[in-house]
Amino acid sequence: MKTVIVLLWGSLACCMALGVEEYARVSVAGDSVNYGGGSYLDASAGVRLFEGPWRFALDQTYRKASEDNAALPRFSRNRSETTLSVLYSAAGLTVRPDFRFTTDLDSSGVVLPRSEGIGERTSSVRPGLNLGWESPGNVKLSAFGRYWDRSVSDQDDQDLAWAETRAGGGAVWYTPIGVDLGISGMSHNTSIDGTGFDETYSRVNFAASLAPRTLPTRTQVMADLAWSVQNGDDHNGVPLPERATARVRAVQTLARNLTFNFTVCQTIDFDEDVTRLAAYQAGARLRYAFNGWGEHPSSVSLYGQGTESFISTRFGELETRVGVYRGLSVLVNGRIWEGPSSITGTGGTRRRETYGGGLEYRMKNGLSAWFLIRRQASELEYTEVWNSFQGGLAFYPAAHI
Amino acid sequence: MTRFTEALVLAAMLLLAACSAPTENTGLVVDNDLCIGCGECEKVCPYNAIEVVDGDAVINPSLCRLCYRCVEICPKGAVY
Repeated sequence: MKTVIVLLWGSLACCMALGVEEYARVSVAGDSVNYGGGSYLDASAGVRLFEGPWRFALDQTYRKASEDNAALPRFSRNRSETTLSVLYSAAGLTVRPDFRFTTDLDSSGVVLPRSEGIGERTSSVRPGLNLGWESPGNVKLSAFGRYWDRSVSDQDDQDLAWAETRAGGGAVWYTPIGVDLGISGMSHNTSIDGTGFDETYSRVNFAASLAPRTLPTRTQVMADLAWSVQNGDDHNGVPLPERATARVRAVQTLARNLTFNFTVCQTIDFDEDVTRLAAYQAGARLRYAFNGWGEHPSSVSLYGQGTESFISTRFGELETRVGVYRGLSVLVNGRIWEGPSSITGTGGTRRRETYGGGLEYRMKNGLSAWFLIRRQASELEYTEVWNSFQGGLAFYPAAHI
Repeated sequence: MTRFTEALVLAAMLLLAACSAPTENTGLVVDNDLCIGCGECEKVCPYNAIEVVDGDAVINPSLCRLCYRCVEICPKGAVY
């Protein structure tokens, strides 16, 4: 992979007329403001080269988690991920091959299907290809293909030959009367030769979307209806049901800079002899945007959501950014979440609350620094409360030649 | 708030009240409107059953065993 990076930068040196964008971001987070709790390091960097219809991108992400002394026992993979992609776009045609290489930095365990035990995952490679074409007749065609080759070994250190393929495509017709009609399909195969596992599931979607044009001023509504015919089995060998999904989205501008939107979504499953309500979601967001007193836009956003399926979740979020002086902004955020728990000894559900504040400073050269100090609480057998620190640096300069 | 907005809010509340949680396994859903493609779900899945593809999380139903770790970790409530 280092060879690829060197070659890419070598190409850059040879072709100084290329447009260039680059970015870098690093953030650290801890369970506690004191040293010794669980800690997390996330870093990402990338470069984009573009010339005419061509665009090359190289992205690198890195995650290191240390959870020996975490306030809550959790599970997170340490890993490095490199993605190289090329985009060619001209005359409505888009071709985007990409290649992703993922390394598990601590040989994390993966639970093998059908009670075949635990495997050790070390890396995976995933080449892919996306194709798209927009015709003059308001028809958009797309196709994609992916192949995963995962290095997973069993307890005897034998490679299990875990491979997956995913391919599909679709077409959308944006009709002149405001109705969009679409059809799409995909098929995904998972094959683990070492255990004899070989499963394929596929799906064909028929979708219609309506956005009425004769609504009151400052009101937008979009309704989607989709029918999915699925083939294949779930992990228990139960056939996947056919599924209908209905969704309504609405946006209302209540006043200058103040918008309200909400979404309602219901899915219905059709098994061979049973029709039943499946996942349901309703969410609403209120957002106020204003200039503030600094150089960057300010906003206050309040979001609430409830979902019902085999499980229930409740989610509320407040996100505030207020520019106070030049590049300096005050951050205030809070989240309340209630839902299923995977933490031992917490029963079926738990509630998590996180709230706190911090500062962010953005410089004109694209460099920004930020930190948050937050207070977290999680309802376990007893309510666990702790403070956490999160901070980072980011560099997003403008494109240059 | 306009009458139209009031009607929409009322409709949403009625729908919410009308629906109760299914008692059978219904599989998980990823809401592509909410998913930001951060990949936190990938990092916590012990079954290799969820992966971000083209910016959205995708669940492989033949591998997912409904442990709900992805539901729990998602910072935007996009998996349910």
